[in-house]
Amino acid sequence: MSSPEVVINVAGMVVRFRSVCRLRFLPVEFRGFAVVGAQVVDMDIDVEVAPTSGHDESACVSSFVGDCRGTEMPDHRWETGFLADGSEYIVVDFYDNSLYNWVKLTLGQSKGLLQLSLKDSSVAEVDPYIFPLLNIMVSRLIRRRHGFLVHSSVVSDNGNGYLFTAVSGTGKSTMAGLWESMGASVINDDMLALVPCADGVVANNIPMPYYSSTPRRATLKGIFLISQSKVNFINPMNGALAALRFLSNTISQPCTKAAAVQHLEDVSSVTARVPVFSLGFKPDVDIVRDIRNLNL
Amino acid sequence: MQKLVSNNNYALSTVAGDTVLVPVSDSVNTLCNLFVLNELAAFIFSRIESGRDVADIIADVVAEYDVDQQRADADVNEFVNGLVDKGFFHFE
Repeated sequence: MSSPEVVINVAGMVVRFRSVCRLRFLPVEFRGFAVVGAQVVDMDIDVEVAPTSGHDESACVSSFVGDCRGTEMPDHRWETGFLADGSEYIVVDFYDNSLYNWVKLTLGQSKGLLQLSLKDSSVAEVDPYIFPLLNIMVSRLIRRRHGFLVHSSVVSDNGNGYLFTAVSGTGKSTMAGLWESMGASVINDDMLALVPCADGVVANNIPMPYYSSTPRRATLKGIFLISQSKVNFINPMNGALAALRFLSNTISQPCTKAAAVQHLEDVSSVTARVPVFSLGFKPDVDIVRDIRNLNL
Repeated sequence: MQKLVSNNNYALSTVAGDTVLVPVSDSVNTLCNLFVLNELAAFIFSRIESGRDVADIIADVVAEYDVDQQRADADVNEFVNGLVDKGFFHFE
């Protein structure tokens, strides 16, 4: 049965999407991140959802744009930034979507508005997970907690979280698979949301467009900048080099000086709390033993 | 003499004691690398931002470091031209 609201918990943030019109949300699990059957008392963001016919572009004072036309993903263009009143916005224009022309999410401190431009105004039920809107929303919200997204794989091994990052094709998924074969659990092998907390830096999985999961998290004990190698090596990195090498694999939308500096400071803060290593590995389980022997 | 003018598309920050030049961008397509400034680069950059012209900066470098005029001239101009090539400054 469809519902007028859905509540999700992503990276420790609780977000409620609430229809203020006739639209209803399909009874999907929000790729596994829906909060089901529990009374939600503390929400971080309460988002109203309604169809609309137009949005005011003149209210945007700064923006960052990504254009995904001509890529392997369905054609779309996204824009995020700030409005004159300080609230944040995300707009996704779709060029290959059967349901939406565009969608716009405006985020205040605790309230939000999700406007849907539907191709068919008679549509009564929608899937609340809209890609890439949700992922961009997660990046904006965790930024408020000095967190950020990073292309990486993360595993949890006896309570120890290890993060592996590099450009695509280097071996993040291979590394995750090696750990899984040795009894560890994979938090995610593509993208994680890192959020600093009182007891450490926590890596969280986020909803992915093509499969369902459940919320998973691990407190990081080590960050590994990986490369392929004929022999295994693990070399500690410090200072600016560690932060900047790690930063190159993080997701950033530096549309203002403040945003650019904050992102750099957030990444630096993480690398100051979690040891960073340069790691070269051959694709077998020896590397798992080598990392375990670090006793981080 | 041409004046060096900021394009206001960067921010400076400090990471682990190093000065980092962070680009500000409005698009994925125009994101570029950030740069770690060594001591001399940070010295020159601070003087650029305070409005000193290139000739005065060269004199500052000669006075501050144990280098001759020719060496200072080459280093400062190389750095300044690099900033212009990367789009952080332009000449008026």
